[in-house]
Amino acid sequence: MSPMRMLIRRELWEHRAISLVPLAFGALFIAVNLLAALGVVKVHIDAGGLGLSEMLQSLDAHKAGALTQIGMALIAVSLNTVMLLVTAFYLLDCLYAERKDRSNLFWKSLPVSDLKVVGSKLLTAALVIPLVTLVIFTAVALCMYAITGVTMLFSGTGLFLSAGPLALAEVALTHAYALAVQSLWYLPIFAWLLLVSAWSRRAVLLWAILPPVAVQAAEGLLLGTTHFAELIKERLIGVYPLAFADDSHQQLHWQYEGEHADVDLEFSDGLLALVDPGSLIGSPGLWGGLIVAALFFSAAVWVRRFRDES
Amino acid sequence: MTTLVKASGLSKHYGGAAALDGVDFQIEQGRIVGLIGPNGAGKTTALKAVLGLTSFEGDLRVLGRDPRRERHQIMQDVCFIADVAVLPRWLRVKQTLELVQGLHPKFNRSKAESFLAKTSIKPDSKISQLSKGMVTQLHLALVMAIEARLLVLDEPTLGLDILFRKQFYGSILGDYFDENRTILVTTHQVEEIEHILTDVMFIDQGRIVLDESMDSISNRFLEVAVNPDRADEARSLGPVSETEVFGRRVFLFENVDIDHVRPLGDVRTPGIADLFVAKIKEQAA
Repeated sequence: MSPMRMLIRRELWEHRAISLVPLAFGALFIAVNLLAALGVVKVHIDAGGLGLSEMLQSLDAHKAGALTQIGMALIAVSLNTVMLLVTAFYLLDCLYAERKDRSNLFWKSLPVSDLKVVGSKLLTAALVIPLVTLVIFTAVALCMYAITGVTMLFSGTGLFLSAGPLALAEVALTHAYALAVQSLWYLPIFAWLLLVSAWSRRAVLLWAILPPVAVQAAEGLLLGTTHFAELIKERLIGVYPLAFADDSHQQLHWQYEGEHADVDLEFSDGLLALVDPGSLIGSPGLWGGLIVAALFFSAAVWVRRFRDES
Repeated sequence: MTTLVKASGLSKHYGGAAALDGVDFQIEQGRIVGLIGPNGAGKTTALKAVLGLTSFEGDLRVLGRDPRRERHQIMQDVCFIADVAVLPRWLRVKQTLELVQGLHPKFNRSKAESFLAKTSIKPDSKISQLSKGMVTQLHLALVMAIEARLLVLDEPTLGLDILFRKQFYGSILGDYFDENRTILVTTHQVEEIEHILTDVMFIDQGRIVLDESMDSISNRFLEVAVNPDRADEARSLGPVSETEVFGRRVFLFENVDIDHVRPLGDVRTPGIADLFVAKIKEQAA
């Protein structure tokens, strides 16, 4: 096994939250889904329909596919949020913990360069954790598709069951793309957290947050401007508008007219039509971010290499 | 003879204070060198410099390389046990073996496993579940299975009971050490290692005060227990130090003719600890 693969396995051994936390949330989604399905079935049996059938009648294969995609996309977004929190805490902990328990001297007794060690941690955050999350997402979405599809079949329509595989494939591919661009966009944040983890003696979370807040405050006091705050905001949420096409055709309308609920969907081109890396690749934000990431990363490697604890 | 470590003018300052003050020394292959000194003398700083864990001034070569720039290459041939309790607590024993196998090209896993088989350590145990003595055994098993040229031990048996300490040095000497290996060790428990050392270096206030092989120490230093009535005679020969033990005066002589001191009382080679205390006092005077 190559040293890099071994180093990444080590990260997964040490930081079990990387897989356990998304798994726990996935299990929770499945449990809620299962309860809801049982509820639907029970209502169906007790009340003999209760209007669900009528609503389902208004669906066609296209709309069922779009609805399935939306449901799955919601799971993907939720798991992504969980994953980002896990990643942030992982990065803050990974170089700090080994100094705190003094095991860094053991790690440093192995013939592995600091570049490789710190690199394995960044790679874990930017690539391995998203891959783990993608696998968990796919498994959870499959389970929920099966549960919901069977429930809907019971309620009178097989449309969801047949629309599922294609919808899942599209959502999974879109999700993979989103994870990839998100990792690239967040690299400076990841590298900053690594640097804080390598450098801070205590209160890593505070050290991660305070400096950017202080820069914002200083800028506001001295210049009366908010450029830095906008930069941070752009870094936190700016990737999605850049990486996805803003297509007004892709809309979902719920129409409520009295007792009659109708689902009107225009989801003509599917999710993958939204994938549009062009403006992201052309944006200075991506490349500037990568340069900043390289600086923070080098600093983190340097600090781990030359930090003398005594 | 191959020189593994060569330091000249090695210095390290913390703030204004010198932890190492222009130290020169070298370590040859096939030796077991004890680096001995009081707390804060610079022992750990010297070891850290050798291991590339700290910055320093002066010139230092370890296996012909500069530990500041070529640390991870050096670590292919250098092992160290810094303190027994530093193996990562979350690792399992078998994971530890797998990890070192994956990261150290000179690690022989079956050798480590056969060493562990002689202990009560179970492969599935977490390191946090092991006693301090068992963690040392595990660390020792790892180190013994690595084909290294230099082994650095910094207080390796701190906090262990006497059985483990004896076992530790017994394994090092019996199963590990040979003419191709070299060991650099620091410890407070000098008495326990002096019989295995081939060389000693005394370090005090960042300076080397004695750098000798054990053979030349027995030629150079003599300890004589003298009855009080002949103490003045002994003093006239210029001893390095004088102490009182059970009513007799014990003198330490350096470079003295054995025939001159033999009539005064019982002559023997001094222990490293006594020699160390005398040398430090001499420096302070």
